[in-house]
Amino acid sequence: MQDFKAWVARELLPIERIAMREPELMMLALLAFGHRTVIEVGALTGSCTKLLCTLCERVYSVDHFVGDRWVGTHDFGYLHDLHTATTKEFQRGGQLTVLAMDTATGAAQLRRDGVTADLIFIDAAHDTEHVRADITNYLPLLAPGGVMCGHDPTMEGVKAAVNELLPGALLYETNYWAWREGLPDLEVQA
Amino acid sequence: MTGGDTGPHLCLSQEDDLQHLTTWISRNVLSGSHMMTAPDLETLAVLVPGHKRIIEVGCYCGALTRLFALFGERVWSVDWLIGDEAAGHYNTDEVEAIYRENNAEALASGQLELLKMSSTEGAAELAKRGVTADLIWIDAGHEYPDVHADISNYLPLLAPGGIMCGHDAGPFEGVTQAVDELLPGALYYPQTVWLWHEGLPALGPECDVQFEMHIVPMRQAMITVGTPTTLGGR
Repeated sequence: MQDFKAWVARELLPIERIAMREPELMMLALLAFGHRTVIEVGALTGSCTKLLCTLCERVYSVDHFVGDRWVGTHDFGYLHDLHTATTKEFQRGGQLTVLAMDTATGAAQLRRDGVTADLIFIDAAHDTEHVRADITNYLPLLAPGGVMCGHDPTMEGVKAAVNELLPGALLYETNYWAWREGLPDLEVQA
Repeated sequence: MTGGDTGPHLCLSQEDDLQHLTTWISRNVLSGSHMMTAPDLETLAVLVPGHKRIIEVGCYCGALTRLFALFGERVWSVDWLIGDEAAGHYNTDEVEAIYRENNAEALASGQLELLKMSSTEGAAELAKRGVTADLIWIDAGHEYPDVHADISNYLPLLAPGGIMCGHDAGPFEGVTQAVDELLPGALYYPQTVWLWHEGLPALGPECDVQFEMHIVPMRQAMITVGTPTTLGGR
C-alpha cells in the first residue's frame, strides 16, 4: 500500500508559496480519486495541479497568474514560472493543458474546444461575484454525473455564491464544498 | 486559495443551504457504528457521494449502509450476519432486525437490497444478475484468505473506472497482505481505509506504507460489548 500523506509531504508541501495545508491536500485527493478528466479553476503555484495530475488522466488548469487581493497580486511571470516549474513534466506529457487567462475566458475556450470534465474544482477569486461567475460559466462543462467542488466555503463570498447557485451542496470540515446533480436533502434523511 | 483556519466554525445554520455531511454522519452513522472511526467516516463522506451503484461486502447492523443508501441510487449489502471466528459470532436475528430498522425506507423502496449469504455466494449471485458497481466496499472477514477471496470475487463486478476500497488496513495483517498482493499501489488513508482503482501511479518506494503490526482486540470486543444500536428515527 502507498501512503499518500508521505507523497504530499515530499512532493507538495515544499512548493514555494503553497496555499494549502496537508489535511486540505489529502481531502482534495479524495475528491479527485476515481475522476478522469478535471478542470481546475484557479491554480496559483500549481500544488493542487500537480496533485490532480498525479491522480487523474487529463487536467485543464485555468489561471491568469497575476494573483488577487486574497493571495496577493504578483507579476504574471513570477506565478506562471512557479506553476510551470511545478507541473512541467505533466505539460510535456500532454496530460496537462494550462490556460493562462482569466477564468471566464478559460471557460469560453474550453467550451469552444468541446471539453467536459467529471470533476471541476473551483478555487479562483473568492468574492461572491467572481465565484458566481465561475460556477455559472463552468457548470455547462460538467459531464453528466460529474462533481463540482471548491475550496474555502468558510469565506463569505464563496459561501454566498454556492448557496445561491448550488443549494444543497455538501460542506466538509476540511474547508471544501462539493455538489452534484440530485444530492439528497439531509434534513429529510435525518 | 487560502490556508486559513478550517473546521470548527463550519456549521449548518438555518439560513444556510449548504449541508454539513459530517454532522449527518455523526448523527446517523457514527452513533450506531461499533467499528468505524470519525476520520474513516470523513474519508468515506468525501468518496461516496459521487457514486451511484454501490456494493457493500460486510454490513453488520447497517450503520454505514445508511451513508451508502443516502447517495447511491442502487445499493447491495452482502452479509451472512452470523459473524466469524475473528469477529465473534452474534445473534443473527437481532442483527438483521437492527439492519432492517436502520435502513427500512431504502429497503422498502427497493433502492437497497440485503443479500443474506456468505460474501462468496453474494458475489456469485450478483454476477449471475449482471450487477456491476462503481464503488465496492470490502469489510467482511479480516483474515487473509477471506479478504483475498472477497477482492478476487468482487473485482469482476467493478465497473470500468470504479473504485474498490475497504476497511481496517494497517493493524489487520490479513487485510494489508491481501490488498498488497491483489491491488498493488492501493492508497492507504488514515486511519484504516484503503482505496484502489485501475491505473494508480507508483508514488515511489519511500511512500510504501510501513505498518506497525500489533495484535489488536479483534471485532469481538466491539461486538460483544454493549448492544448493537438502532439508528432509525434519529
